[in-house]
Amino acid sequence: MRQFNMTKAIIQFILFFITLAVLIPLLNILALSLTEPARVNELSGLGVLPKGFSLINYEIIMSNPLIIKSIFNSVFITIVGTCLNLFLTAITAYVLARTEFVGKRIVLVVLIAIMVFEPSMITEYLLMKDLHLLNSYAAVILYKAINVYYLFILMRFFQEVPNSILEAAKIDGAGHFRIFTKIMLPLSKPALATLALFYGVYHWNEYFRATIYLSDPNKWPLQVVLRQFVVTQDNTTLLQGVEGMTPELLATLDFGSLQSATIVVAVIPMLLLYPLILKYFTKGTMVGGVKE
Amino acid sequence: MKKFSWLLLVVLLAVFLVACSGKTEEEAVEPEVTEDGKTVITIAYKDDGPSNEASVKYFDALEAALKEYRDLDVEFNIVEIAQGDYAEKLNLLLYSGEIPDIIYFQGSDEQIAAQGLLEDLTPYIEGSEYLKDILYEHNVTRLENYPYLLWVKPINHKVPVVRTDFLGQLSTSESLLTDPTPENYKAFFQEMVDKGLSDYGVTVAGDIAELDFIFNMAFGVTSTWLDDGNGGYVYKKVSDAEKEKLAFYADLYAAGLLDNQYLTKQWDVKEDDFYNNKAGVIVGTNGKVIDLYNSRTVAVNGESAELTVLPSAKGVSSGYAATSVTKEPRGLAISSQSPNKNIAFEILDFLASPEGMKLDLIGYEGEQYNIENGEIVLTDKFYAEWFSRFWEPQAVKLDTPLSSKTPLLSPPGQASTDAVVDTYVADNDFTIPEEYISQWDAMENLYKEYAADIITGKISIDEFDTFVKEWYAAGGEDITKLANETVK
Amino acid sequence: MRMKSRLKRIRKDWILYVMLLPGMLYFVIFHIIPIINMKLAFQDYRIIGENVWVGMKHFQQLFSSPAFKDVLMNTVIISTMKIIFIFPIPILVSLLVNELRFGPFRKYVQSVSYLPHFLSWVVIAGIWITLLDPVDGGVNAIRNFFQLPSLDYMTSKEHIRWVLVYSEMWRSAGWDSILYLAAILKINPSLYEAARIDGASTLQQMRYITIPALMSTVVTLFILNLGFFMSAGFDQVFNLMNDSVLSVIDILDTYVYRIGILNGQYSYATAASLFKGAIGLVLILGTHFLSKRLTGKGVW
Repeated sequence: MRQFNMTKAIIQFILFFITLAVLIPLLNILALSLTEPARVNELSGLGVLPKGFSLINYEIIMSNPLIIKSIFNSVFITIVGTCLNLFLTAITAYVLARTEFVGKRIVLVVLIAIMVFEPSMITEYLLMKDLHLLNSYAAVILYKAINVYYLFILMRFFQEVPNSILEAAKIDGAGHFRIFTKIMLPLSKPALATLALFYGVYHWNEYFRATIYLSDPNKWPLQVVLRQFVVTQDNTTLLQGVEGMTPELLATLDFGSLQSATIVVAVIPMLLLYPLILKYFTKGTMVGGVKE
Repeated sequence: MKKFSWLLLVVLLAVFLVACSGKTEEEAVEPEVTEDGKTVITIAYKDDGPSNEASVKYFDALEAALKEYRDLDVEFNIVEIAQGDYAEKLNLLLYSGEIPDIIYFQGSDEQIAAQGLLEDLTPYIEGSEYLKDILYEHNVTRLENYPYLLWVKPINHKVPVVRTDFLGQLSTSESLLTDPTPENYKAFFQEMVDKGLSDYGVTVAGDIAELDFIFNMAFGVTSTWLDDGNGGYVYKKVSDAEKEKLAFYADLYAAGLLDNQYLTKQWDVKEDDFYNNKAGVIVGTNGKVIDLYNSRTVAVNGESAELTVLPSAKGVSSGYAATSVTKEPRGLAISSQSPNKNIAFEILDFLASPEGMKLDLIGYEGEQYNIENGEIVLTDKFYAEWFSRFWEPQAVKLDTPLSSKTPLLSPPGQASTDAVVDTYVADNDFTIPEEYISQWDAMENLYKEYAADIITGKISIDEFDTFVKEWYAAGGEDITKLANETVK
Repeated sequence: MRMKSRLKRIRKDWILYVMLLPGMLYFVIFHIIPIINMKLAFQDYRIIGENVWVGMKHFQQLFSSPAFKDVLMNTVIISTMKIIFIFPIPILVSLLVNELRFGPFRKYVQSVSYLPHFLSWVVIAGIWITLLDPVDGGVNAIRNFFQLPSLDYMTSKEHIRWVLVYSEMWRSAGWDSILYLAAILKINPSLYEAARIDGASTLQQMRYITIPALMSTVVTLFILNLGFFMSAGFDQVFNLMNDSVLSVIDILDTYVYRIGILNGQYSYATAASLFKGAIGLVLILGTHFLSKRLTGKGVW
């Protein structure tokens, strides 16, 4: 018989309120994208239901010949990038967090320096040029293969794994690599899932460097193609870029709602990943391991 | 372990794939001459790129025309620069040493020119066949001061426009059109709002620069450096004329005639406001932009909504703005490192010839125009999407005459350009030297802040004098001294 | 003598160096080399030919410009405000969420609170400008409901910094709480069981179990964030600026962008980056070693 817990009730209320503050503006964007262009002005800033219903914005977006390809490109970059990120970050974090070796302190300080010093774009560009990585996915993925901030976070998580487990393994004769793969990684699922989410979103939202390093439009990821769409709001671009577009049809469009539709399209695929990630955030993955 | 080794495998495979794709698909250094002996001309132009079908079609057509009329074997290599970040990307390209033969600049060209990377075009123009004859007055002066950018287009100023059917419904229209004093402008805005035609009189995007096109001259802000009455010069933004003008703007704001949200208004929202009749008057660049506003307004509000160009306010003086002649603010340059400089210029000259201009100005026969009864008749497709990439001289000479039924610009568009050209007057500004740049930025921001606060009523107009003092202290003294030495 | 034992250790730990190799390779190629090239700050960049050494010229230009003091002050103030008011929020959120039973409501809260982070500042600025509209924005509608007059937040010098704080909070509170939640999940549930049996209330459990367990993560994140103290959020400020409030929210990065990047003045921009990085480095290392001495906790 569970008592009515006042504290818990208050907590639930606060959280619900917070989610409203977040949800309403976002639902407003969604509503705007689905509103009939002629009735866009009726939608207030806090409205969550579309006025009228029209898929015209989405039709226009999807008819862009580059859209489907760009989604695949984004998926490719995100998956390959995240795998690479996780591998490199995890293995580096393990060594730095759970072992002692000559030169460790220096490495740590240098890493901090790497994190805070941002060389200007021209240096990075020239580097990519010298490595012949221009117009390749490698440039977009590799420029931030390890995020030092995330690296230190993972190190912190690795350090929280009880020493006794590692000691036990060492006594059993396991070398560093085996400890890493058989103990460290399985026990750090929430942390790794968190990093996967962080890195994944980072890759998915990549815009700036994609525009610099990918000159072939067939390689453009989703964000670039979407922003091309509404950046200039140029009649010419839309007329030429979209099949079946006529000046009459163009005049009926509302650019604000077209823009919101691009936002929705950009975010939706990420939302589909939620169930996967949240799976790792349930209790029970951490329990077990060692009897104290 | 199994899971991990899969992960490792995927990663290695991916890295391998990715690394390979980098090397093989990397753009090979473009040869100067293709296998069939064509000269490759690399061109960087905003909004044009190999992925843009219209661009490819255009430059292919240009190649064909060059071959036909000038017997030039050219292949264009358009640099792909994703939209929205042209200036930044172009900078990276140039600073990494990859300099196209022909480059379109919209700022940031001075540093490049300072490093000697842009070709001095004076001798080329002097020796040109057609180009030298189509230059505007302002082009000539600008080229004298800064011979690196070429941009033969009519002056770009902004003019106010209003729906013609609105004009017909307002009693103050007549006095506005015949005697456009600031007070009459204000009465006009007021009536428009009172009669419910719009929510407010005029809107601008972010700052008052657009309003200045209407009102600067009327209040006496006729050039960047004004006569201070003592034989010297005073900067326009710290002059008494400016003070009067700002007081007027504050008045408009307080009466709700100037959009009270103008400071945070994005330009796309500003345009929407006009189409939705929230704003009665909007200010837009003469020529093609006014054309665009016109077609959209008509599409949304009907034929009667065709635009009328309003005159600039009249007072101490009149006109839309003084035209800076220090240099072209944007234009095409030829790289001094290019091995194809002469050919590059010949292309530019060809575009000034009747055949070249025909392609650039009106497009492809059967699509943008048809020949009927020996006249060129422009199609809807032309008006909706065609724009000229190169020269737009005042007098257009085509081999076939243009039908009067389909002029190049819509009546409002043409009227706006005519109005601007009629009121042309050269400005006396000069380029701020490098050592003053950061001070100048601070001084301009000081002005923007005071102007914004005065207009929105946060501080009284009397604070203007405080602003002037601060401005002089922040470097204004030095700059004014410099002006007195430089400005003639 | 020391040398020999050091070498011995290196040889024994050879596999560690191998494991470390890919990461180090990445860092050297993609970070060390560019950082060394930050010597550009002491040179004038020449597209054709060798760069010209000019020593401290760009630094002098930066430090002596009249706006520098102001933008520096703005950067410090805004960063400090963000640390004080935003940093604790994700922690609080994670504590609150942790109290929810695993179920649909918890999933809902988690899913929704992460959403704003996916949006770019271009979008969020648009959302907040609409939200704060003095005529028909949501915030003022609420104010009017409580008989308060409408405020034009976006052009108000007094309020604009708070707009920066709250919009940033809106964007990242949920997202940053993910980390803390992951940390909380590592806590042995038997500790909670024991506390409940002993009669501890929800708040007491939070105070004596959850919070201490989070401390090391909190300290790590706090110190790391200090490294970005001089950054204060370029994307955000850039998209929310307007003439009225420029003087109070112009930060170092937006200033350098205007003067430096837009004019291709990469040396100038690099000098500013070096300055920012140096401050960040000192802050991190300083607080790290201090914290280690005082509390035993630090970044590593």
